[in-house]
Amino acid sequence: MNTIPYPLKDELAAFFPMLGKLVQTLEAGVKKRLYAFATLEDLDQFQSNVSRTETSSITADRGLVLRILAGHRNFEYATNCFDEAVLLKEAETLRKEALAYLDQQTAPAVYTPLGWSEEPLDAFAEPVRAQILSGGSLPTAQTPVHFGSAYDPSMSESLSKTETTQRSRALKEAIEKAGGDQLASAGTMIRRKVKSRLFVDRTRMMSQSLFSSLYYLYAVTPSGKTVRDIVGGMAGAEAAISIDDAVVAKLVETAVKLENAPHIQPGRYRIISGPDVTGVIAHEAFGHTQEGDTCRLGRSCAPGLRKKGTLVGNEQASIINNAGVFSMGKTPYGVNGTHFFDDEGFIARPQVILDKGVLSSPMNDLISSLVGDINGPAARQSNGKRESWKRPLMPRQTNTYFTAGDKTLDELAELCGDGFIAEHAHGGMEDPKGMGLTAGTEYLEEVKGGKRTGNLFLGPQGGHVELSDPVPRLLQSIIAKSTIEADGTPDQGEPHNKWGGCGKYHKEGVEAGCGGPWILWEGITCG
Amino acid sequence: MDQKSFLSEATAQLTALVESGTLRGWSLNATASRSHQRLFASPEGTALACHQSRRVEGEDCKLSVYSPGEDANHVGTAFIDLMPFRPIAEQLEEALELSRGSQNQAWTLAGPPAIPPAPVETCDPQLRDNPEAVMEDIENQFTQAFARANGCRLNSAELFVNYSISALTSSEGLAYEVEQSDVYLEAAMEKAGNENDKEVHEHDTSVAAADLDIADFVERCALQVAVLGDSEEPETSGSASILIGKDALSQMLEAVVMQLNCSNEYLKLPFLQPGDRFGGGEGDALQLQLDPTIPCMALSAAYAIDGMPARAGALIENNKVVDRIVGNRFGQYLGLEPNGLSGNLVVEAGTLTPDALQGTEYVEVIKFSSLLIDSQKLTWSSEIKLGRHIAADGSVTLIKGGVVSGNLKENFTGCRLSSTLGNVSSPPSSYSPALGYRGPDAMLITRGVSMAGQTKGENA
Repeated sequence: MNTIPYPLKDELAAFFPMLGKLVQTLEAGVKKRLYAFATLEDLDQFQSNVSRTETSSITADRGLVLRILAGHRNFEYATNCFDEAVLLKEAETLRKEALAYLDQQTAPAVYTPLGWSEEPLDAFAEPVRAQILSGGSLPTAQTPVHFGSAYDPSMSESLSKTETTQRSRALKEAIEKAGGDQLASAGTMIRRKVKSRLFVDRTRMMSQSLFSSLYYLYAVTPSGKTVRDIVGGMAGAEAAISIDDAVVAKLVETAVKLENAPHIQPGRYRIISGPDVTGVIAHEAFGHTQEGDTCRLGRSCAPGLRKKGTLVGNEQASIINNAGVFSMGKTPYGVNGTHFFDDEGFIARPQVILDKGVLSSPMNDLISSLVGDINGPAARQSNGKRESWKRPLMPRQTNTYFTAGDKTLDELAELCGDGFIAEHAHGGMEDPKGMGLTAGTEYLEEVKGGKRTGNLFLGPQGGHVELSDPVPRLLQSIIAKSTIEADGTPDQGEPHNKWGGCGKYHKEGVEAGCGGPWILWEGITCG
Repeated sequence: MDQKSFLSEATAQLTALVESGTLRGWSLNATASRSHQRLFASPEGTALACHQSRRVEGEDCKLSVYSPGEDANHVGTAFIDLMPFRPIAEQLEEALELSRGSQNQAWTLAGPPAIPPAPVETCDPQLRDNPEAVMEDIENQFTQAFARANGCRLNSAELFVNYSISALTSSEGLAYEVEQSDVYLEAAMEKAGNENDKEVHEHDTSVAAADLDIADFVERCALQVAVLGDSEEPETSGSASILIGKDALSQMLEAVVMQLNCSNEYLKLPFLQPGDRFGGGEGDALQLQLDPTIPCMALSAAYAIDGMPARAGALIENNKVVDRIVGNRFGQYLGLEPNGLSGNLVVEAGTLTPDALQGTEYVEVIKFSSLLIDSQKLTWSSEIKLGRHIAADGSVTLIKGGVVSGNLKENFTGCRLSSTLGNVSSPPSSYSPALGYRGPDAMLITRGVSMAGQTKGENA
């Protein structure tokens, strides 16, 4: 594949001067008292849905956020009005508001941003470093730096709405044809998205364009059993190269098996989780629990456990959060939790959030890094994210995954003996204070005598299956992990992360990949 | 170009496209919205300390276009966000091109009703006109209420006050405005003076500020905090009895209502139709209606989503389906008369009282971790975030963890609904659609529930 970075539209680049002017207004004469930035986000998304009805849609959105950090409080004004005079007036109002607050504080903290020369370039993934240095030297505060996710321009479907719609229809028809009377309905959804962001503060002027594709195929049986296949990545149509007749046949075969699948008895079982379910466990296990705001607000058990040096998992329990995932095993692209910089302009870098059962400092946004938790302030990470310009920013996960092990999937099955495989995720939730965890799976596949039988099981009442345990118990129960591809080939890139989304408790949806290897667990409560 | 001029120009161009036969029809929904948002920490555990305050203003415009289909029985459809910074003609051309690629069975768009529906109260003028004063007032009320919540430590809180006004117009002459407001209040608290492994995290929403009973909200949170303590996982059982609250009950009924929408029949998804039975048995009978006219509820509206006048009516009487939602488009597809049924879920009270629970063994699920309900299979499952096991002799054990799952058709068989009523009014979010419910506060389910947790005699 010959890929190129997705470019920034000229129309968007034209906003840089105005953003610069807004930052100057926000900080005018008070740079030593407060810190400000301006950011503009732009969404350009095409989606084709085909089932018994057909829908083509374009979702477009563009909004701007002005931010002042004054002491330990963020002040923001957000709008999709781009009239410069109106915005300059709003910037003045925001500045006055922040200064009025600062006047009431005793010795408020002041944040000074890092310049390009202070960035740890060697810690960045190659696509990040290369684009920072694309001009041949370190940029200055006035040099626009653009980061574009890679895509293969030779795949015409990537940029053609007509071809995308035709592909969507063809896939739906293929599922219907393969399923015949055994299915009640079938459908597909293909989404192509370009999410761009401009960021300006006193030290830098940068932009990123993230081009992603999502293919969602489903089959529904007469009794409503729905089987899905979700394939996506930070790429164009190359993300769907793996979707072929065999994938469609497997989808239909699974649906037909599930139509009359037996139900498991509620209880504890030995489980092998596939990368999708492994990822949800990583995300829920010490993902949310390690989010900086949850820690500093006293809503997470993690700071207390870290302070005491408590081991919360065995030596196989290592989890990474990393926005800079640009390849996964043999797959030459990342997933939808990937970015070059976060919504506060902080460059992506990996963070080991759990190292062989030992907790690290939290995933911090700017304010959480300054305020800190009971262990004090800690390093800032690239985790400041928001649902959109309309919503508040919080520390959020990017791509969260378990590190790889050394087994093949066949070896894990053999070690498992009798148990089940949980491959396709169905939601999840964590209780950061209480360390409860639940990860759903669509169904379970039986493993008997160390071999996969192909027999599928639904939950006790005929629905999906929830896998749930207290987090420390779960993380102490990892028996073995697979290599990245789980087939004996040497590891390369990061472990596979799956396309995903995440809510903070019950709201604030953001994109978040999650993954890891296949993992054999000693026992998990299933219901 | 301001939004008014932009919409006027877009409407003129759309009308010309219809007149020339290039378009069959269109509808336009233009919204202006405002939001005030504050996030609070509480370093001392007693007072609100704002760490993020935001003002948000926005306008958006959603366009649906319907173009002549590949034959008389089809229509091309597309939906786009019209952006004011791009030439209108270019965007309409793109929408037209998209619609040609998405062919659907033709239907006739709703026109203006002969008699306009009566207005419905969907907005609190206070939230529209004085949002900052309302925020201050809620903060003060919260602070005062929390001061009375003995034994609680406050961890965090969030407050959002939102307002929007939308104007809907269409090629068929529909033209109406909808004003909406809502308040969102969230708090997280735990036992004061302890190193805790549990917190109470609750939120409340309302359309009108006066409907947000802040003192009651804080008191309910404090009551939950008071029962926190040592807990156990539930015992594994293939047949458990549980007591759930109005939030879970309303979400379960919302899934049932999805099968009472005739669109499911056309889309070949599982559906319920008049004459079908849903639940039943010797317990309290289910009486379910929709009502779009209740003032200041999340699903109150003068018009249904497809432009038909919204109408109240019964869907289930004595566990028997008596009617279903027949929207304009899918009603025409199925040869059914569109009925405009929509609105808040209204359920009659049952006979369950605290006295009636005496001598019954059950688990009260105070909080599900994440209640996932499958509206196709009508099944559900969740970890228990917090619950209480009540033995037949009345002894109580705090429950945390384990998985409870159920099957709604079984759950509504032999169930008992509370004699007291409550409301749920949740505005739409990126996570879930709006939900309005007025009905029993609680439901005792005795069938179709499994519990996975610890096994008797086994040390979990």
